Amino acid sequence: MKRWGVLLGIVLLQACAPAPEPIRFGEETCVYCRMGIADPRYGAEIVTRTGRVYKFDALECMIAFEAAGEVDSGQVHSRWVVDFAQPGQLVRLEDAEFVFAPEVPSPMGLNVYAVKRSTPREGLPAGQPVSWAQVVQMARRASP
Amino acid sequence: MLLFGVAVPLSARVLWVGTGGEFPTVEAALRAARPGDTVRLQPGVYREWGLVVEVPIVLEGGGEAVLDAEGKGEILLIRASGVTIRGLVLRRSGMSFLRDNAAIRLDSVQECRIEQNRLEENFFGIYLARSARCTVQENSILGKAEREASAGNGIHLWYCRDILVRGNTIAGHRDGIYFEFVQRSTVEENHSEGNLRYGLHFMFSDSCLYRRNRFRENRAGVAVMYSRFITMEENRFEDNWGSSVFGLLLKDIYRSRIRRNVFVHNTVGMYLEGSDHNVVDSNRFERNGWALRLMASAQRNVFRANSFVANTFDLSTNSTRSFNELRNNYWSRYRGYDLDGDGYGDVPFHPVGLFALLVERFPPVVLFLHSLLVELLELAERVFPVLTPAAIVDPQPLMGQPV
Repeated sequence: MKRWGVLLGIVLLQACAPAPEPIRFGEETCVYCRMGIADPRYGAEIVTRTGRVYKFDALECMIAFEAAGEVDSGQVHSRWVVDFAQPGQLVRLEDAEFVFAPEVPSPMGLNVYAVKRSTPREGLPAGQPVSWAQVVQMARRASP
Repeated sequence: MLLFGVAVPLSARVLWVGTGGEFPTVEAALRAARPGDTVRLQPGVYREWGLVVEVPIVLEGGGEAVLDAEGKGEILLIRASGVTIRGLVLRRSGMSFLRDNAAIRLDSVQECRIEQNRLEENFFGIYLARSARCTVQENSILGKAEREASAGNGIHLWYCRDILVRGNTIAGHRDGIYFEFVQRSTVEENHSEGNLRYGLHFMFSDSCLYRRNRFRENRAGVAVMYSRFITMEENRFEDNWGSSVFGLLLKDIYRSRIRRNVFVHNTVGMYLEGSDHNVVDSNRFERNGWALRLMASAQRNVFRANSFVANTFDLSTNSTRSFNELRNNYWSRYRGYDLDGDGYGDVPFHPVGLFALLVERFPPVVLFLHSLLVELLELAERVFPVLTPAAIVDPQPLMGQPV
């Protein structure tokens, strides 16, 4: 009986453990700009310590959402971005690199895409590598 | 223009492609074409893609010449100004995550015309980049994707100005018509229906006009975002149903004019967020779930001479204060009287009902719609208003429908 209780406890803990959720492209909307999230090469997610998940159609919406104080940065458990090279796949923000590619329009006009660190770049659109800090700065400047 | 005017009459030829013609392929004809020529396709199917138009010509197919890319890539790229593409059937530009393959792409050109073509099962339909003074008219653009992820937009404009998009029919794409960084352009008399996201989607596009379009049964309705000085007139927004679905979603729209439109049978007729200094007049809102949802961030907008007829909720808001002006609208729910017979009701109308307020705060409450309890609450609230915002009021409602 006791063992079952422990097991139940684990299951319950698992249920609220903060974890990312796959974005259902074509079905969900961006919590910041309210646009339908449609392009599986772009997107981002914030997971809070309580397990709440906020989904965005583009990097700049995630940045603007935090800048607007919609979520307390102390409450953020993790940030995730969609890997351009593997449409629909989320990778941790810390494991991603960013490319500013003005010829590849992104959903909110910043034209920055994310790829998992050390992804071979052949076949991906050319552009200028930028750091996350630079992406934040670009997004603030363009702030929709 | 002057240059073409001189060059065209001297060299104009007709280059025939296909059965009995001098060119077996479209590609060969395009390579031989000189400015002012007409390349004419005989009826038939041409399995070609990656075609490039580099000089000002007319390319036409009489409606029975099919260019089929078989999903391999982009079909036609136009890199010269003054090109006309008419009467072609363009089929199956290839879906790709790396390139927005279009049936027809125009890049950095002016004075082009894309007209009377039929586009079928393409990833993107007509894509204009960095172009100006072009016309896209009377095309029929049918995508077939079932999922947004594998569908591009029907007519897509990016960094363009002075473009006319008129009389097209678009269905089955991600967004029917998509504008990003576009200026001074007109969208009129189009029919956009059954698209996977928006019938029309504006982003960062100022000073544009759209009128007399019909937007129907698009999965998320129409979204106009981050733009200024937009005029929207005489459009119909109909039958857009679902959660997060709006007849018209306005987000960060400034100094725009919305008049004489019809919003009928949508989950939400019109939704405003972060938008101000807009004038919304002479529109008809009929049989919507919510005719109007006004977020607190929408301020200094004027709503005048609109008809609100048989909506479940006329107005709903997440604020108890009013930062907008409501005046001289017709509300079918109004129970006031007009003793002096001047056409205006003698008592003000408060369009935010108690129940609408509750639903805004606790959405699941909507289950109790039309229940006896709610009817009684509404009645009590009308007699002794306690909860409903007194500030949100039409001080002089119309007795008859203006539109």
